[in-house]
Amino acid sequence: MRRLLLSVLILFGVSMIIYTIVRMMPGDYISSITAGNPMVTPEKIARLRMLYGLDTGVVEGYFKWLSQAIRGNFGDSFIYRKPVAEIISSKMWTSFSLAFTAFILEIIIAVPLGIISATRQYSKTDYAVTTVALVGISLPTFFFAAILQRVFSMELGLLPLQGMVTARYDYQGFMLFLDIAKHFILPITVFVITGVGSLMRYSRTNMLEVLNADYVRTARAKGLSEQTVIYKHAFRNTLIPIVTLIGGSLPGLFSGAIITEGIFAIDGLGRTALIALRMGDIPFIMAFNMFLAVLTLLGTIIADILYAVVDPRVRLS
Amino acid sequence: MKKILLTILVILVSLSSNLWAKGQKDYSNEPALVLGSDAFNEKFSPFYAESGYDMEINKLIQADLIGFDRNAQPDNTGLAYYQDPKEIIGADGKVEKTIYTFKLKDGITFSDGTPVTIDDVMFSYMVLADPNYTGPSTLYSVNIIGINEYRFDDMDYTDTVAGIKSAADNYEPTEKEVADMAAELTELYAAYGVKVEDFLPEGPYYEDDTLSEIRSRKYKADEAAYITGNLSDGIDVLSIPGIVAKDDKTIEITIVGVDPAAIYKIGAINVASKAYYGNGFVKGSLEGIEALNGAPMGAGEYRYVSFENNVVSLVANDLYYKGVPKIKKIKYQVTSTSNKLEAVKLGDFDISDPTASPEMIKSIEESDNIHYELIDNLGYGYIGINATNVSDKNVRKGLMHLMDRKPAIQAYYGNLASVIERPMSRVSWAYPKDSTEFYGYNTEKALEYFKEAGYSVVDGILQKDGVQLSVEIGIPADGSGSHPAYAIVLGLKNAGEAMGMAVNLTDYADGNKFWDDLDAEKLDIWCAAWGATPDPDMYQIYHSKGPSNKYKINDPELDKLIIASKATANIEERKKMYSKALDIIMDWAVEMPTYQRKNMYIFNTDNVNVDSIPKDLTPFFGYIDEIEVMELK
Repeated sequence: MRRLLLSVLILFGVSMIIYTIVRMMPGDYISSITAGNPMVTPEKIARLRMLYGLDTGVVEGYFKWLSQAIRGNFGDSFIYRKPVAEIISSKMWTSFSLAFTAFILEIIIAVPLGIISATRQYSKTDYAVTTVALVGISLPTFFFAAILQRVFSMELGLLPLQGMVTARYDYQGFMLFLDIAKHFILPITVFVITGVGSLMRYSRTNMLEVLNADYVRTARAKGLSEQTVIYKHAFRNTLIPIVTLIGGSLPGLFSGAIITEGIFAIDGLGRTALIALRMGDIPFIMAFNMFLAVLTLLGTIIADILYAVVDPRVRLS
Repeated sequence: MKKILLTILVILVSLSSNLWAKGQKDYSNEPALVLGSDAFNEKFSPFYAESGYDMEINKLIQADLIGFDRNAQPDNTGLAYYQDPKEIIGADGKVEKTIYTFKLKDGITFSDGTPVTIDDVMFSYMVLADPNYTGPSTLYSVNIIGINEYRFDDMDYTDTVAGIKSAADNYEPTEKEVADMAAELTELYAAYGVKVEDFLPEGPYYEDDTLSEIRSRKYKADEAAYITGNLSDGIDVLSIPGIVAKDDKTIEITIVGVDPAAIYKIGAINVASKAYYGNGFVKGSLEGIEALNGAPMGAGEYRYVSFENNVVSLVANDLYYKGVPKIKKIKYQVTSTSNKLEAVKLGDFDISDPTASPEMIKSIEESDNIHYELIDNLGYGYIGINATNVSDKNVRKGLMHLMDRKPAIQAYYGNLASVIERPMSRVSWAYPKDSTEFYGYNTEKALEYFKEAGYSVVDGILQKDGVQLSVEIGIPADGSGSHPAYAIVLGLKNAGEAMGMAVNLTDYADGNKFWDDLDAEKLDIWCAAWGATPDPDMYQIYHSKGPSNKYKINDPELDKLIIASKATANIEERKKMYSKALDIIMDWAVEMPTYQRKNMYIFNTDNVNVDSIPKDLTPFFGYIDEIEVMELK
């Protein structure tokens, strides 16, 4: 209960900071839509500022926003002129399906690889895995995406260059699903290759730590087979920190990926948020960041609960 | 509750328009034309479409009241016939008002089968003139008789607004207001090291910043309250006397005096269906119209089907008044700009508009399935000088002589842009075709001008009365120097410093910050571009009272010319006046025109029948204006 109250307090703080920062950004929505158009008069600009609620000071504006937000009304996006909640809910599942698929693949690849390279520390396999992981971590997203596009779509013609569907054909039902899946292969590959490294290094380090623990030595001393020691005693204990990692990645599953979504022209939240930021779409930026803040808080709570589930030493008080 | 009802209404209306439309065939199995586009804001509305790509979709769905030809002159291709406006001469021999008469053609219908009537035209004007209208139309800036009374909802608005203005101008703020504003401004200017004290009554920024900001906010707030109050106490002004339906086919628009640019604002309007969009519309309430942003319907070439998975789908309107389009289905797919060329090469798209570069032209010429069109951009690039900050004309002229334009533009654009000699898009009929260079690159001449202004080189420093000549240059080049004028200002900086000037060149990574600093007059020299309109009217930018006069140019003769050239519709006379006006502007040395560039459209020749692409395209008339004649292979 105290935890929940604290979360609400944090949300207030976060919203206040974000609102102030957003309002302090140079330029606002009205100046970005009217810049370079000599026909717009200052009177019209003033009137537009008023109609968009940008004529108030920062403090007054914040409380106006807050009084509506508490009632669940996050207002209309300036750019889309639609309720922000509607825009977020219409775009978040695209971002989520990409990120979630990538995340599952990352876990499936990273955890076993991490364990293998930990159990064979300083072997050729370990070095190979580590090198690949570091290359993945260091690759800039836009660069790697461009390479994938060049190889797999421009040269080999195997996969679509960009977009979410083949626009030329009106696929329906299962065919539409397959078409979308085909378009998502390259973006998901980008996510997985650039994201898998850190998770792998993390599980390797954890495994190493566990392998040096006293109870593993005890297990070995008992004469248990190496197989049993690693996969029964050690493995389960490396899961604990990984589980907390999953909780922490909850907001990332919904927030979208600015660069990847941009390059592959995917209508997700990351790209929308970038455009909103550039244009000064305050209602959207506020609602989007609050959404992420809530997910972050939710993520830590979930992580704590999971922690208790996988680690019998921890009990919720 | 209101929102839910509106949503249901939208769904019902869009269903009925798409499924039960009279006289429309099912085109779902026809081959599609696919266009690669930038992201949409999803405001597909005759009133609210704002971004270029939203407007392109809107253009295909809606039809304009008056059509315009390749030279942007009104013709009879729109929904209504165009007649030359009638000028009414007043007692003083001057034109007192101008009357435009538009007559709707017979037998025209919207895509839902209902006829286009004069009520629809009237409705379209009333929405654009509404006090709560937030879309991009600038109809309000045309001096239509009674339009301001309508917008302020008060027949005697002039006195009241003037009263509000003078009350605000003379307003003496309380100590608390001053303190609050000072604190707010300090926070805003914190990056420049300003302190709260500087904004208080004895501080250096009090009069100009604190006091004027308080007064201007008061004016805006009071004016806004005045409009809101007028609307909420019942609507007093219900009509605009300058917009009248004469009979069930004819509309008459009366404006004060002469305004050659007016036709573009009053003629090029989309005629929207009142039956479809006007549900629940009364003055001041536009929610119902905005709610239909995602479900447009009009009298244009195509009907809207959906926006799903980042693809806009359109199908031909069988009732289109110029004949059924030959391509029955169109898809606009969102893509990132960097992929446009490759996607057309691969055949994913049939048409797109990549950002033209010399390398791209080369790549296109090497590939065998792409046809391209280069069309002059409606607008031009320039380097501006603020005449208040750099008040000595000779100094400005000296600076002009330090701008080496040709090599910079050539290196950046290749053949895709050329240097222009007057500050006006070369596309305009008013651009003097025989104009020659005004300020060539010449460091010696520059130094002569600086000397004439009283500067001399002492100890390697160019100074006057012990003060070094220093200029602040701003350029929005992404922080990486990627701007056609970057090499010019960099050259200016180097040449200036070699002469002993202090030159500070800021490359803004954030374009908004650049515009803020420009508006705050922190920059002496800046690089930007103007978008142009078909009519070359200069009032907004170069008149001493022009609201977009960033140069602070103030020349009585120029002001006179600008007013005079607006007061006649005779093109030959206007050409002469503009030519003279441009020379005055050049002599003021506040604006160095840099380049006129071209836009590129690429077509995949495997899918598009190249012979069917409309010919002689101009900035005013793109292939999209005649898309109904285009064919697929």
